[in-house]
Parts: sequence; structure tokens; C-alpha cells
Amino acid sequence: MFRDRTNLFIAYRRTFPHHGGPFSDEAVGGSTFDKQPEEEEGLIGHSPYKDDENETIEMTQLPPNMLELEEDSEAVLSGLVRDINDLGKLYRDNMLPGFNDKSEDEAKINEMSMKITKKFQFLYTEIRKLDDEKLQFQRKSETILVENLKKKLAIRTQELSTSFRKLQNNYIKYLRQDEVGIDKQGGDQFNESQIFSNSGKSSEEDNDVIEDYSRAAMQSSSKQLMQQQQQSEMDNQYLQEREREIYKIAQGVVEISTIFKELENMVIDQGTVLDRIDYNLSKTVVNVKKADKQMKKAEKYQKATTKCKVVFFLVLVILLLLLVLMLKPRRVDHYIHDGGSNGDSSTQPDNSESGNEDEGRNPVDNEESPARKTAPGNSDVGMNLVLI
Amino acid sequence: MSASFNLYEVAQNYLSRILSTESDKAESGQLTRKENSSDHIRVLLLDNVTSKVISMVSTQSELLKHEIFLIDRLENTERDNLKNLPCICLLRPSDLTVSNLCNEISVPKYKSYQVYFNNIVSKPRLERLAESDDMEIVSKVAEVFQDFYTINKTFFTSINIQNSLGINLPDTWDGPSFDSSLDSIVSTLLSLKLNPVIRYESNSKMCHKLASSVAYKIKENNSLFSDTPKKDISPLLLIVDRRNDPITPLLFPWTYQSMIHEIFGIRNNTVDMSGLPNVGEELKTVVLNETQTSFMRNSMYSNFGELSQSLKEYINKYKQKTKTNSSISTIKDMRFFLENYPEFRKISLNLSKHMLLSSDIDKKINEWRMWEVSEFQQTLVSDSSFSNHKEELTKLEDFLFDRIKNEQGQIQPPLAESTKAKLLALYALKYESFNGNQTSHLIRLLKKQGFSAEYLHFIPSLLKYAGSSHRLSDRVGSVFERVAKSSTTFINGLNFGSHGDSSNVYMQHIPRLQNVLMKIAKCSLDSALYPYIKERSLRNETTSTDDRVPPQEVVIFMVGGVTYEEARLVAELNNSNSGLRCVIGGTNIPSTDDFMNNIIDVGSTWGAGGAI
Repeated sequence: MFRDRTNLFIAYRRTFPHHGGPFSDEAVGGSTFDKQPEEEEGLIGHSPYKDDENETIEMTQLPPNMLELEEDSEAVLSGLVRDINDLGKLYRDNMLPGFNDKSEDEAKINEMSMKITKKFQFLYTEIRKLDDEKLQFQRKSETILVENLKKKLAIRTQELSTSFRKLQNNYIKYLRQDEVGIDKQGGDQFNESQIFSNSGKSSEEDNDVIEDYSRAAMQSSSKQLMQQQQQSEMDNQYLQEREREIYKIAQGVVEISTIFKELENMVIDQGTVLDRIDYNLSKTVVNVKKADKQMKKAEKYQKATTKCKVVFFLVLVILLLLLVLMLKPRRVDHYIHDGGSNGDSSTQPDNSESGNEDEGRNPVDNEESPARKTAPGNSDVGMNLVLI
Repeated sequence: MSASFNLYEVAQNYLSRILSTESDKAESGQLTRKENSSDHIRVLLLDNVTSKVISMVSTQSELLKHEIFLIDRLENTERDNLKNLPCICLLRPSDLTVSNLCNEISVPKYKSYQVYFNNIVSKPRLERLAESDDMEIVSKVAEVFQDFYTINKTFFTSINIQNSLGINLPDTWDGPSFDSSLDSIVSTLLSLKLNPVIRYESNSKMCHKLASSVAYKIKENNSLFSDTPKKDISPLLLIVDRRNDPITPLLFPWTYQSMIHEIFGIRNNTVDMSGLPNVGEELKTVVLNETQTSFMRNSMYSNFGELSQSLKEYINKYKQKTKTNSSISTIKDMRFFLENYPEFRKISLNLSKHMLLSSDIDKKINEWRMWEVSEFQQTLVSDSSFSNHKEELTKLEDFLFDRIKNEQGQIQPPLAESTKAKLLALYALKYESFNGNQTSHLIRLLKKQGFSAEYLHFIPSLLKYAGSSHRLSDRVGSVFERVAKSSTTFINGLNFGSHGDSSNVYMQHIPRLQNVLMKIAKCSLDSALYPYIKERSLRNETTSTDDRVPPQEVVIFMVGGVTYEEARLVAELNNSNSGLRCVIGGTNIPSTDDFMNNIIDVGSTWGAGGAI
């Protein structure tokens, strides 16, 4: 069951006067109070202004190139779907038994698969571009948006590439089978002369049953090498051409495989919690909370740095003052000492202190008389202190 | 669409309806799409309830495919302004959510709003919404009907009910649970397009209240329900009460899904495994969904033996697959591997998930000594006669007082008190009307031993809730049914699978629901015990013929909690192609412990708890 209530809702909405809607003028004009609508007008006048502001911000927030990217990739994707369908049709046509020359078809097929491969590569670079795009956004919801866009493109691309590779794989398989069939004919032709190859063939058939296709294909191609030497020129050329074709396709497959593997990292693991909607929702809530915590921490740190600065400044001031303080009394100290030992003040701080105590009993004598006696030594001590 | 009796399909229909409106237009013409190119990056706004509802039926990547690039909660007040993106809201029409939405649209954060409610939205609320839509920013308002949790294909529960039993008196509703149950039933009926006749179990006031409220709701929303396709035989809504089968939720279950729930607890289809040792980051929380993998689909109803068998097969399959690429020597091998790489990865993740679950189930079964306990449980309940009282009493006493010895003659480690309480409860229920009943004596003995008083109160509370005088007396002792007795499992092509196998000691007991289902199929539900809601039968004159022709669509709702075992019965019934299609729901899904705790919680308020 499904019920659309839009009409009822709109009917209800019409019964209310709306500020932003078409009825706003009526509501304002019809009012008997002059002051009140004026007041309201102020509010109204304010709110559109705010809206405009918001919009201008958002215009810059969601740059058009992201939308373009999305659109481009969408277009490429839908083009790819068409191409792959076409290719599938071509493959099918080509696989039908017929006497016509198929080289034209094959050329078309090659062209087509090249085109598809290129498109996949384009998509891949496009997806990678989104990573750079993400850095432009500051707001969380926008980064999520881009992240999700990336995931979606990755999922779609992966789906398509899977179907494409399956298609190609089937075709290679068909070509191989065709070849094996020719092999067999060749074997029949040279039945008497090449008994060993026949016996080899029967074992290969057994293998076909047991082993997987891919291995069989490998074996047959190695056998091919052996047989190619003995087969006629025509056959040889034909087979070589085949081999080339297969090689080309295989190359494309491998190229896409690498892309595929890269995409694998971006796609969500379907079927796990990571794919649960409510899990992701609660995760974002948790993330927001975490971010909040981090912000608070950062704030604390910031506060702490200002504190640090103050402390550092105070320490500097203290050091400076100490220096000044040390300069003055030390001058006094060294007057005393310089009387005895000149110049060695830096290595003997203890001595100087003890000396200070000793000489402290008759400070007047010390201060007055030796200062003038050792006037030249005074400048030396000052130099020393500066060096310290 | 109306033919589908599958809740997942219903959900998919709704989802595609809600999400793909824009791209549908786009498909019809590429031009329209280019004009509003930014419109296909959309925001989905959910509330606390709908986020869970949608999580159980869909996934993030599915929503991504539908061009939903941002999902957020309405309650989240720190959402960013994204004025260039359209928004789709899927919300529950509750009072709180509607007022939240009113606040949202009066200060819109997005370009436009399409509002979908997951149940009937009342006109006053719609009016309120219209009033606050100042900027005429809401472009669509519609109702889809999915106000329930989809557990399995034919199994749903109401939203957010822990305990539906009311306090103060037995057989009363807990207020919010009642509303939630009513909403879930109404929305289920609407989502399946049914306009049913309603029957309920006559002994339960809870059932009666719910049934008549559903009938009233149907009448109130007649326009909706009369839109449902007309059917020759009216579908049936049967509301049954847990109290008529208190045995099933007390027994240890042995099928996979039930066991997971019993041991780890399934919450919204996820299991929290983070408490277990040596669990990898990927398996901390695992998702169990019937639709996800064929392994889960195939083995969710299989018993423990079958489960280990199918797991073994699954491992072999995996080994075979990985064996082919264990030797990646050539480009072709590599290609083969790469091509199937996501598939391998999926299988290996899935495999390790189920390995972890089943190995831990095994561990817990041994730890709780469930092999012996369950065997005794089954012998206790699979026979209603009192003839074996003496042996069963001594066995029970052995369990209660830890006298069981193992082969070496040593006394086994004691059982958990909750396990003992469940055993005693089964005994008390079975021998309630027996003269030599030893229940109160046993309780006294246990009390002396310092047994937890809570669990001792459980027994009288349980008898008050579901004692024999409170149960529906459609047949004497019908709760204690064993499979061997009911050789009539094949009726009208009704086949309850291979589990009705009396050779399996652990699955002898069959839930009473099976009897009810068979009676529905045979049209032999007694209308005195299962009366119709009057208003409906007057309007629909077909009820007289209904008694002879079995209904083809049945919705069963169990008040007081439904078990996974009962859901399994219904699923097996649906698989049997009997022409009877059934969906089962319940207020909640209690494990045996939940069931016990629920009754303990409310039982203490039922007055005079101690005496029997």
C-alpha cells in the first residue's frame, strides 16, 4: 500500500499565511496593525538576506566541477553499458558458425574492446580525481558526500568491469575451443604420422574434464607450439592470427584487472557491518563526538600555549633580572677576590662565596680600599661575567 | 505485487518507490536529467526508528546506487547547510519526529524536501507540518507502511519493545508497547494489502484490547483499507498471547538462528561479538540477514547437527574454489582469480563469520552443560501425564542441588542459577495441578541454600502469568505436546519439515503454535475460544463461510513476545506450498533469559509475590 498525501498537505498549507510564499504580501497588507507588520518585515527582510548569504557561501562550497565530474562519469558509465551490450552482440554474432570472412567483425571487436578499456581507464582516473577534490572541502558532510560519490562510482565501475571481463573471458574461451577443434582436425590429418600428439590429446581431454578451463587453455597453447612446426603454412598463419587476437584481448583484460583491484579497496564490503546504514550513521555521530573532544583538546592546548608563552616570558624576565642581580653583587665579590687571585672567578664559585663570608666581617674596608687598588683588574672580571 | 507475501519484497518495493522517482523521470528522457543535474545527488534524512527499519532491509551500497550520497538523522542538530541538494525524508509520524521536522523545514538546510512517513500520519500532524512549511519547501508528502522491524522473510516485530507486560496487574499492557504493537500490526496489514477479519484468544485481555484497537484503526482509516484488493476469502489476523504457551520461551532452542539469539543475542539483525576473545576487527559485529547469503538462508532453520554438516560442505566448497587459484602461476590463473576475487573475499568473510558463531555456540553449550539440561527439559515437557513424577523430581533435584556426576564419579560443576530456575519453572508449570507437587518445597530448600531471591520469585510470577488456570483450555495439557503424539503433522498438505522428528531428543517439544496453525488450516478454530471482533464480522457477512473455507493469508501476532522457533514453524509452513501463506509477528523476541527477566521485572509489582 502506498498513499500520497501531497494534495492534502498542500491544501492545508494554503490555509496558513506564509511569509516566504505568494501569500505573504496579502498577509502583510491586510493587517490592521501598522507597527506589527513593520516589525515582522524587519524579520522577513532579515531572513532572505540570511538566505542569500547562505546561498552564496554554498555556491562556492560545492564547486560545479564536482557535479561535472559526477555527470561526466555518469555519462561514460551509461555509454559503457551500451558499448558492452554491443560488444556482447558482436561476440555472439562472431561465435555463430558461418562461412563468411570474419576478419572485419574481428577488427570491429578489437576496436570496441579497446574503446571500452580506454573508458574504464578514464573512469578510473576520474575516480582518483575525486580524491583530490575532497581536499577542497572543509565541512564534514561534504567530504562524506564526495567519499560516497567515489564509492558509488567505484561500485558501478566494478560491476561493469566484471561483466565486461566475463564477456571477454567467454570469448577467449570460445576462441580457444575453436583452436582446439582445429588442433583436432590437424591431428586427424596427421593422424598416422603423429601418434604421440594424439595420445597427448586424449590425456588433454581428460584434463579438460578435471581441470579448470584456464589451465587447459595453457596446455593447448603449449601443444600448439609443438604442432605449429609441423602444420601447414596456411594453418600456421591462421593460428598465429588467432593467437595475436587472443593476446590483444588478454592484454586488455589484464589492464582492466589492475584497475579492478584498485577499485576493490574503495568499494564497501557488502554484507558486513560496514554496509549497514545505522552503523554508518552511529559512526558519524561517534566521529562528530570524537571531533568535538579533539576540538576541546586543541583548545586546551591552545590555552596551554598562551600559558606557556607567559611562563616563558616570565622566566626570561627572571633570568634577565638575575643577570642584572648577579652582575652587581658579583662585581662586589670579585673586588674582594681579585685582590688575591685574578681572573679565575668562573671556575671557583664556592671559593668566592666562602671568601665573601670571610671578608664579610669588615665590609667597609674591602669595599673602599681594594677597589681603587685593583682598578685595572676590574674590567677583566666584567668581561668574564659577560662571557658566562 | 499483492501476491507477494514476503516482507523483504514489500520493503524493496517501498524503497524503489521512495528513491528512484527522480531517475525514473531521467530514464524516460535524458533531457530532463540534464536540466536539473544537481538533483541526482540527494540526501536521505532518517529518524532513530526508520534508520533501524531501513537498515534491516537495505544496505549503504544499495542506497548509493540510488544516488543517495548523504544519510543523516533528523535528530542530529549539527548537520551542515547544503542548500543545493534535495532531501528525502523517511520518518516515523510520531509526535517528536513531526515536531523535529517542523523545526527543520522552518529553517531548511536543504533545497527541497520529500517527506515519506512510514505509517499513517494523522491529519492534525499533517496540518502542523503544513503550518511550519513557511517557504513552501516540501514538495511531496506520502505514506509508506513499514512501521516494523523485518527480521526474516515472514517474520516481523514491533518497534523498540523490551517488555510488553504492564505493571501492577497481570494481563495488562505496558502503554508505549501497546501503541508500538498497534502501529506495527496496522502497517503490516497495509504493506501486505490485507483487510482481514480479526480473531483473538478469548482468555487474554491484552489480545482483546489490541484486536479491538486494530479493528477501530481499520474503521478509522476505512479509505485505506477498502483500497486493498478484494478477496473471496478474507485474510485472517490472529492475535495470540504468549501466556498460552509459556513453555517454548523457556526451552533451550536448537536451530541456528534461535541459538545465536539465545547465546549472543540478535539485535536488529546484528550480533555483537566484540566480547569474545580473539575476534578480528571485521567480525566484531556481524550482520545476519536472510537475503544476504545463501548459506544463511539455507541453514538458519537447521539444527545443530545439520548446521555442522552444511558448514563442512561450505568449507569444502570454499577449499575447492581456492584450490584452483592456490597455484597462480600463469596470467590466466591470475585472471581467473581476479575475476572471482570479490566472490572469494565474500565467501571467506562469510565463512569465518559462521565458523566463529558456530564454534562459540558449541563452546557455550558445553559450558552451560546444555546437552544434558536440554535433554531433561525436553523429557519434562514432551509428556503431559503425571506418571513419571517421581523420576523427574529426583532428576530435577539432582540438577537443582548439583548432584549430577560424570563418568568418573566426580560431581559436575554447578549449573547457573538461571538455568536451574528455568528447570524449576518447567516443573512447576507441568505439575501445577498435581497433588504431590513439590514446587514450594523445592523453593524453600533453595532459599535455604541462598539461591537468588529474584529467581525464586520468578516461579510464582510465572504461574500468575501463565498458570494452567490462565491458559486457554482448548485441550487439556496441550502445551506439553511431543512430536510422536501428533502424528497428524500432514494435514491438508501442511508439512512442518523434518524437524518434527521424535528421534531427535532435543527437539521433541513442539510449540503450541503449530497446533493453532493446523487448526487454522483445518478451519477448526473454536469461535468461542478464538472469537471474532464484532464490527468486522457485521460488515463482512462472509464469516459464516469463513468457518468452512480456510483463509489463505494469515497474519499472526503474538503478544508478549514471539520466539525464533515459532518463526521457523511459520517459515516451514510457507515453504510447504499448502496454499496457506502466513506472516508472524510479535511484540519482541525474548531469549529464555529475557523472558524470565521480563516476568521477574513486572511480576514483583503484581502483589503478594511470595506465596503460591
